[in-house]
Amino acid sequence: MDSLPAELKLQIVSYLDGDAPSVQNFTGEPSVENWAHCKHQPLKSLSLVSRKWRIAVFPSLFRNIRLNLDSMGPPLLISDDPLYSLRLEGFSAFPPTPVLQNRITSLFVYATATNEWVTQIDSLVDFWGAILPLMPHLQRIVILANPEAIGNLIDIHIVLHDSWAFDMPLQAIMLEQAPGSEYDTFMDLPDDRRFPRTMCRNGVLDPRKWTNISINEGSSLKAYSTYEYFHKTPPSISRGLKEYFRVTPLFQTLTHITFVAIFPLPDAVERFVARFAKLRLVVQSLTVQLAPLYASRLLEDPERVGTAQLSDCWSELGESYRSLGEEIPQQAARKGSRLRLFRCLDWGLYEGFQEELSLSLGGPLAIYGWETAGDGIWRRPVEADSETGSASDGTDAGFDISDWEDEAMDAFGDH
Amino acid sequence: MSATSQTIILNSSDGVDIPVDKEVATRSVLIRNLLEDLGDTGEPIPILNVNEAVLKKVLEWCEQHKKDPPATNEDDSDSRKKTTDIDEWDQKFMQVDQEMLFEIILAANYLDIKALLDVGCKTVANMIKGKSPEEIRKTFNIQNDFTPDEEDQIRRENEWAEDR
Repeated sequence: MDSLPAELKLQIVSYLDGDAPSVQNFTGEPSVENWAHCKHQPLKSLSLVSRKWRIAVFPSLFRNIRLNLDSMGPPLLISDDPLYSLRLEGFSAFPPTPVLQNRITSLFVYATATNEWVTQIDSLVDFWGAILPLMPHLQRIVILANPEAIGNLIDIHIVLHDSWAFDMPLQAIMLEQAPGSEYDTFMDLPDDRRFPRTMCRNGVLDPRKWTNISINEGSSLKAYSTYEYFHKTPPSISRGLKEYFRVTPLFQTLTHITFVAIFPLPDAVERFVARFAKLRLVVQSLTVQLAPLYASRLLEDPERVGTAQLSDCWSELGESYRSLGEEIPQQAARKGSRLRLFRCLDWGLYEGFQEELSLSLGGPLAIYGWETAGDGIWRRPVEADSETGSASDGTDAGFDISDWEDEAMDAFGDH
Repeated sequence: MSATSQTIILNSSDGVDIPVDKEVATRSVLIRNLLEDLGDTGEPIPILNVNEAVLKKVLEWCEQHKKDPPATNEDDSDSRKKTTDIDEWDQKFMQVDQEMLFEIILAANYLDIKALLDVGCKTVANMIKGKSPEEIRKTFNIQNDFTPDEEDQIRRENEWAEDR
């Protein structure tokens, strides 16, 4: 096998080249153990077999890079040279060669919940400023850290006052760019489409044309054990992003949003839906998952469930889906909506719940002309627009930033 | 001329003539192109790089798959979407000794039979999955040409890559 021609070795490697655990497990509960580590590592194993195989595996293996922030010290922000700030402990060897830099398409940045330096540093602006130029072909960033650290890392404000009531040591955000747009930055936009520089922040959200944002806010299960849990405010990335959406050019490119959480309080889902009122102007598809993955066996863990009444959790989940079922088709029917696809990943996960979902989601969507397009997937046909008076035609034409800004300013007001 | 099956003769690298249905043989893009370029002269077509045993095995696969729709190149665009699922008949077909397995892969590559090459590479990929470097070397009889220091260095470098 060692003597196979290189192109055949590459082909064999291509069949071992699956998604990284951070992507595969993104809809599971955020966990450093499950997201950063994987028992089976065929590419890494193969890279240690022989020189020829190392060469064959290299391009695939180093497409997905990870940065373990725990293994580093804080950036040394003492020089104008952005690279200087990256001379962190344990970071000097990164990335191995310039050739590799061009191969990197996916970056996983993670820190355990107890990581202190990420939460203590006021601004990590230079962190991204130094990393992103090293990876010109980057198409995806996954960030896994505690909510405060995520707030710091992506430069948004996360409300933490009730965080003690929630079991959310880690949350995650995934930003993705459509393949083929790897060189794009907002700076490439023609002048009339470019946002004023002052409206852009220097974090990670601006410099690329992100098309997909996926958020995993972790589990609210613990909160159901607390007194008047329904008045609590969970640490929430999506809530933190609302300010961000208002002032950045992210809106010009965003087309898909995924929201994952475990038993979020209905209030949190309603707020999310309310935020969607204006997101509909750009987002074409929305995916949600609000129940724990069955395989996680979370509900069988007495320590995690605590004194929470699971019947409360399920009934609140039903409530959340009812508000999605009410709001989503209405929003989509409004003028200018580009929303065409709605996906519920909880469909079929738990016996009995599916029936409730068909009533609370499937029913209202069908009334507004949405068609079933698979298990837990609904599609809004183009014809539905003519009935509802929506102007959406699925193209970019007609999207005007200034119009949008006016609407956005009131839309994100204070949900 | 009729559209019914028509026999052509392939001549293996060890000089054996093998009659085969044209429809079966032309699963090979190489043979199809040769027939188009040279015309059907009735002369045996020399298959220089493939011996009788391997050629017969490859033709057995082509016979089974002669009605398959032509391959598309769609999956080439995104290698990450590739799966290593293999249909049942192909799995059985690939239950051969390793030497034959690699001969089939090389022959499929030479004869330009993409679907068979895919099945062969998937079979090898499945044999690699779940194994440690040492187990892979043992399975495929590969010499470890790294020094212990180099292995350490590679492990350290690999830490920058996600576990895959």
